[in-house]
Amino acid sequence: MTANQAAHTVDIFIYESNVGHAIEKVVVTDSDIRSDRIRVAIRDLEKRFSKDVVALRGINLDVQEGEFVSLVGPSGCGKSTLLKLVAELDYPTSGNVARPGIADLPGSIGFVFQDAHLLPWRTVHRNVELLLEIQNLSVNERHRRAKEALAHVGLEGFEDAYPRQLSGGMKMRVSLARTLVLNPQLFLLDEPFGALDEITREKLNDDLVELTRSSGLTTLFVTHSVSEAVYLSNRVVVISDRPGTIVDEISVPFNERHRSLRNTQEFVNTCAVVTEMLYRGMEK
Amino acid sequence: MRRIFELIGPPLLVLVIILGLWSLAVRLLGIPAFVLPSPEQVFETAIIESDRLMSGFRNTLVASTVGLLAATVVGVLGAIILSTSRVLERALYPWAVVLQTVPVVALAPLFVLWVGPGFVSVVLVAFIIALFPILANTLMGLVSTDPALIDLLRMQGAGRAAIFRKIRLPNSLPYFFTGMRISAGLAVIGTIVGEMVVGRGGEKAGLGYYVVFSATQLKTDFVFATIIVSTGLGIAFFLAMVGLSSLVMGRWHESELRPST
Ligand SMILES: Nc1ncnc2c1ncn2[C@@H]1O[C@H](COP(=O)(O)OP(=O)(O)OP(=O)(O)O)[C@@H](O)[C@H]1O
Ligand SMILES: [Mg+2]
Repeated sequence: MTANQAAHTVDIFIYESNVGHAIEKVVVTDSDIRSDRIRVAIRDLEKRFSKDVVALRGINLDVQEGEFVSLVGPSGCGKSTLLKLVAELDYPTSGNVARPGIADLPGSIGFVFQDAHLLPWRTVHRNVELLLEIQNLSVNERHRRAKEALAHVGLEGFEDAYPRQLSGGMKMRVSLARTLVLNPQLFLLDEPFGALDEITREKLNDDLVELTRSSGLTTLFVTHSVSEAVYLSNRVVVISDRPGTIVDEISVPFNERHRSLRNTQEFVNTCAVVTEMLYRGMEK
Repeated sequence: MRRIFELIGPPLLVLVIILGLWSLAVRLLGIPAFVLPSPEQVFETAIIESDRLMSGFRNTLVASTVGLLAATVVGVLGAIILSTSRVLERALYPWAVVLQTVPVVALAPLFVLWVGPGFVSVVLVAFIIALFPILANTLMGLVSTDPALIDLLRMQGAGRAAIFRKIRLPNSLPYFFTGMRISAGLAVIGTIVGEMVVGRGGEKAGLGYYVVFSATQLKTDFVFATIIVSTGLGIAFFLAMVGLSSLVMGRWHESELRPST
């Protein structure tokens, strides 16, 4: 199983302060997605906000268990809307989203937004506990899980800091931890690293690969960045200009993720293919 | 110590200069005391009348405090109620704005008709003047929450009560204290205006009463002394609110603790 494989990978959680160190990291990715197990099934989905604003049209998409799927598309094409429909934060005009095998329970879906959205009046630790407080967990259990999640995103020692004392990258880690404590079965991320500098972003990319692959987490990831999508995903889905439709998709041919992957010809070629698809979607 | 001196030094110097010029002008121009008393005279009268000034201070302090407390309770409860329903907010909030624009002094005679002159009427004036900033600011804080956070909590099955407790209420705290800072000053002003219009003399007389009383007797020095004590009370109220807000909000959002003006 992938979880065991991932357990052998090099520790990839480094502190912000270590950014300068050129650590070559090797991350083993999932190679056995069970395509027989669909976890998200989107059928003929349409979302219109008004007569003129059709955000999404004719969306069909399946996501398999343990699969990491990225959605890329121009601004305003309906990526966030699609994610919200999957999370049932909004309802489609027609069509439907099914989530077979994902429990219809609080905590089974984890959602991460573009900005960290932390509570300024809570410490890092208490921010991570926020969503657990909604579930009826004991104080001890809450505390334990928050601590664990913070260690997971490399923020030990910052439990008592307030959000304003953190850098943008650290805030994002807190936001990830806040969702990860839920042990979600489906992980939805809406441009979580869009506001970060490139190095922090790449580091968090590696962390995210590790986090999702080690637990076989089914993930839908929205981004503007083609290279980020290609680096992270098992599959990249390209969405066209509004009304958003699926232009095309591509399975990413790599089994491993490591820093130098970005420089390989194959990686560059894959990015070019995705970019080509993006242009096709904008010319329609 | 040095920093404190640097902070209060310049305004203090201005004060000394103004007092000096004032004193000089009164002497040189021979201005009669009932028009403009000299600062020394004001000071002297303040000492002589210290008993009445003290009791006036106490009475105004009590009325301001009661008025402010009433405004706080009604303002916060009102904001909470309005925040629970868009319909309610739409229906009632405009009336709160209208209430704020009604000249309260014009209402004062009505209060006298209903409850008679004195403490209750005075407190009513202070209450009405102090209500709106607390209501409006607290309401703003309760509703201007991050929609993403609320989505996040909803997804975990959080109900309205939980969202209120974990997001809306704490979010409204800095807004509430902004309202409190404004209302604290207004409560003092409202009380003094109330005392001028519907206050009573005697043991329960407040500072506003003494302003009118001594002005009609042309005791201008006493008027000045009363004004200075009133100003002190206003400042004390404001500072008390600043202290309270930093006490309650402690370490988070220091930026919001500073008065914006
Ligand atoms: N609540 C709403 N009411 C009306 N229109 C909306 C609403 N939410 C989104 N839209 C519209 O739907 C379209 C898609 O919006 P969406 O936020 O999903 O785009 P996006 O692909 O996430 O864009 P970006 O990459 O800039 O975040 C936009 O044209 C937007 O104006
Ligand atoms: Mg978006």
